[in-house]
Amino acid sequence: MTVSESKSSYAQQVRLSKAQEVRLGWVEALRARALKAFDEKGFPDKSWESWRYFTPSKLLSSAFEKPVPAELLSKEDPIFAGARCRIVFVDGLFSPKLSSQAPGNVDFSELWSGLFNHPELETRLGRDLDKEDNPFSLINTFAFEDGALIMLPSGRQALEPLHLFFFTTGTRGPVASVPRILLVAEEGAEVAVVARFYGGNHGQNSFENAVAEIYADAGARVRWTNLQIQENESGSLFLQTRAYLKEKAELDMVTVTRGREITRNEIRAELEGPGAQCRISGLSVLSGRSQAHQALSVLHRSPGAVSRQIYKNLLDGQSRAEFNSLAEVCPGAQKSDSHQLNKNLLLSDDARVYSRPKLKIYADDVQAAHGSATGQADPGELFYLRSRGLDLRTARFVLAYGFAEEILSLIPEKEVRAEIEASVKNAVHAMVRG
Amino acid sequence: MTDKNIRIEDLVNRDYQYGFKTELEPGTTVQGLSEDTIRFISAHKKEPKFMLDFRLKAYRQWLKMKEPRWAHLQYAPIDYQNIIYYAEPKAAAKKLKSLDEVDPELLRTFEKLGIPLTEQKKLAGVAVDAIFDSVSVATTFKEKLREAGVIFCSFSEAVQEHPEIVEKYLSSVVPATDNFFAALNSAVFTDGSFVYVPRDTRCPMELSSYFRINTENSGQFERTLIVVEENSHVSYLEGCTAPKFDTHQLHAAVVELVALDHAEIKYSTVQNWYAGDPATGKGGIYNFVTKRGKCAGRRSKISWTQVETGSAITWKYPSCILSGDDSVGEFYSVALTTGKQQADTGTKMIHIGKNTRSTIVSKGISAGQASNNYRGLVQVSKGAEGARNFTQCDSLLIGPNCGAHTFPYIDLQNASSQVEHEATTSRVSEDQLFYFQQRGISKEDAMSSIINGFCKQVFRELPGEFAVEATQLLGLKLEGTVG
Repeated sequence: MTVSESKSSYAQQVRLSKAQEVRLGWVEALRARALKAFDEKGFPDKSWESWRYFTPSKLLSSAFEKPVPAELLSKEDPIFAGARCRIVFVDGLFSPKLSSQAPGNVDFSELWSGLFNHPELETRLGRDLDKEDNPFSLINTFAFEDGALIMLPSGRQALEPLHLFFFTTGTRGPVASVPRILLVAEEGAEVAVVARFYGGNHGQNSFENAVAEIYADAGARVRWTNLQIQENESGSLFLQTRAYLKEKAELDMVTVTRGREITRNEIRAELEGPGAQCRISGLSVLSGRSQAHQALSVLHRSPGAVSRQIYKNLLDGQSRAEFNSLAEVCPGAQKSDSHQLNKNLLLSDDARVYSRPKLKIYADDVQAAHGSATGQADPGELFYLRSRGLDLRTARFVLAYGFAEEILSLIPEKEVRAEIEASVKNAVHAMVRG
Repeated sequence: MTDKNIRIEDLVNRDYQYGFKTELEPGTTVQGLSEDTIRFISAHKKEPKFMLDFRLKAYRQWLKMKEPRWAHLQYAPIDYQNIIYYAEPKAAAKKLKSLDEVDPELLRTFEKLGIPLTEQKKLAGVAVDAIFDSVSVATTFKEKLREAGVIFCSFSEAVQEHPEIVEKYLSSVVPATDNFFAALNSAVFTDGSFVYVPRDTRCPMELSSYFRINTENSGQFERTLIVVEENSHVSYLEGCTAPKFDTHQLHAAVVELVALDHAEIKYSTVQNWYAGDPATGKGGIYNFVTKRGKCAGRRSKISWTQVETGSAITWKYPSCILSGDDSVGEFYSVALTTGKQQADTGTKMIHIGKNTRSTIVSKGISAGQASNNYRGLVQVSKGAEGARNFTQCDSLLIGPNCGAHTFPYIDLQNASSQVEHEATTSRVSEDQLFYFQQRGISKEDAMSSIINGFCKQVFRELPGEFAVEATQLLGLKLEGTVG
């Protein structure tokens, strides 16, 4: 069954039953609304502004297997070292065996039981469904199988980072998974999340369509790291993130992308309270035929909010990167402060970059700036390094890795940062030539 | 109240000064669009067959096209059957031998607009082609230009007298089916200016076209073609105004520039079409224009400078196709929107040749309830080794109810290219004004200095008199918006 064929049948089959099973009428109603909205919208084509440089036509004609529970790894796998608090999903399905116990002070659980225990989440899950313009996000809402719930009551601080693992196995053929994440940090709460997306290792064209909703109430702080690293160039990952920040709330999000055929991150952050701050940054290290598309929008709905977007792309082979970002200052959001920066380093003549840092400003007392720069390694800098005895390849490596490091240094967790630095170093090393 | 204040209040309430209508005996008009309209226009202008074929082909394509709606603009649907596609004042119908035969009422109209056409009052050193509704009324200094080998005449005349050049270059830069409005123009265009500069020639004077829409409900569809041969240079200016009507009028022009090896074209526009009523948004020109230049030759250069102050809607992206190696494209723009005006304007720089360079400087000023958008594409093709672009687009907001938006499109396929884009949005701040005022400079003068400073990079690209005119025009338009 292809995704296009499955438009309606998705819902009628197993997908609704989960809500029925746990008797969540409101979730069922939400799913029905999402399905209806999706039926009206359909799939994107090139005439959609934000899908201009990538349309998922190939994806839509692919056939996917329905995920079945699979256990490939053991709890002792080194991949879980350092991830004491974790929820693990295999092909989008919750794996109780690989997941750990929730840390004592935080509600960190599988989504369905969470929804059952917290009826108040009705106001949070899929809150902006009526405004949702991404069909894949709608698909996730009506079809999500399993997910994770992270809840922090007022003033609570999670003592250590919470890890989410999403494995796609593809053992029986390409598989489509639709996991959902819901994070609610109430007033003054603090939490760090590391979400890892591991695609299929068997050259299978799997498809992960994930949605993360993040609520940071007044004064809450959320640090979020997305690791989308895969060693081969197969499979697709679409991650739709919706973040809602109340007064003086803060969100720091870092996304590192490497490998896969297609990665598309769509982040929409709404700064709803005065003085909210969001810093979104990302690094893509791409080679071969990999593509990474970043569709970002930050909406300043309240006065005095601050937003920063920094994205860097390091491209080799025939890879493609798109930076399509928007900072919108709504009427009345005076004293908004917004910066967008996109930098691209091209290592190959066949790589291609699309950069679109957009501004929409409806208030006059604001600071809004954006910049975009693309080029190759600066010959002057190369000469400087070589004049100090570095060979050409090492000099190129130093410049390319230095370019990438600025983003890596923003990853808050030391161990995670060290792990990713090593992985990016390897990747850059393989890309530079002498 | 000081004298100064009185003057400013006068200016605040000042109307669009070019909003008068010239009463002329109506001549031929054709309303509604069909193949018959097109056949009529072509036959009336006694065009050769290739022109009719070109028009009909464009029209048939246009029928299949959809009106673009991607721009950040809001306007009621245009009724294409309600437009007058050909309006020719009776006085301009007959073929004239000299300027003395031009209807004095027409001459007076252009004089009122500050464009004297009669010999004794001609602007020193500027040759003018004056276009009234659908027809070219007069072209000055033709003889003097002919001595230098430069052809400067109305498009209709060029079709009659230089059909081989027209046929060779017409739609070579903007294909008839390029976009919805270009296709419409290709089907129904009535007149425009034609410039041909032979090789090794520096055009001895500035060339200028002045466009005037007079008849209510008429659309103006003019077409300009400028061809500059090897080692030659031309500087061309255009200006435009229209009377005040409560209905919207459509202006859909196409401008094509061709620069061969080492040639240079400088194209400047001061656009001051009627912008509609500032409070209600009633009336005003819908300005949907396709302007494109092709740097076909090596080391050729095309430079666009525009000062956009008028029109209810502006949809305009003067572009450069840099196909010759080492060719240069430039775009300097000031777009001012006040009242309920909306502008979606910018440029496209398409780098194809090696070591091509482009510069984009765009300054948007938005006041009142207006919306001002910059939309620009920088594309570096695979073979464009060493291409270089620098883009700067700044927006200035005056008042809390306006909008300023920036939509850059950067598409790069060559690793040796370098592309930079910078943009800022700001307002004239209280402390800037205070600094001026505490040094004894009035708020109005301070404001005007700040705005002129903001636009300086663009104004200095305009030819002398135009720069002065643009500065004054901006000042006039902004009076009353400054609190």
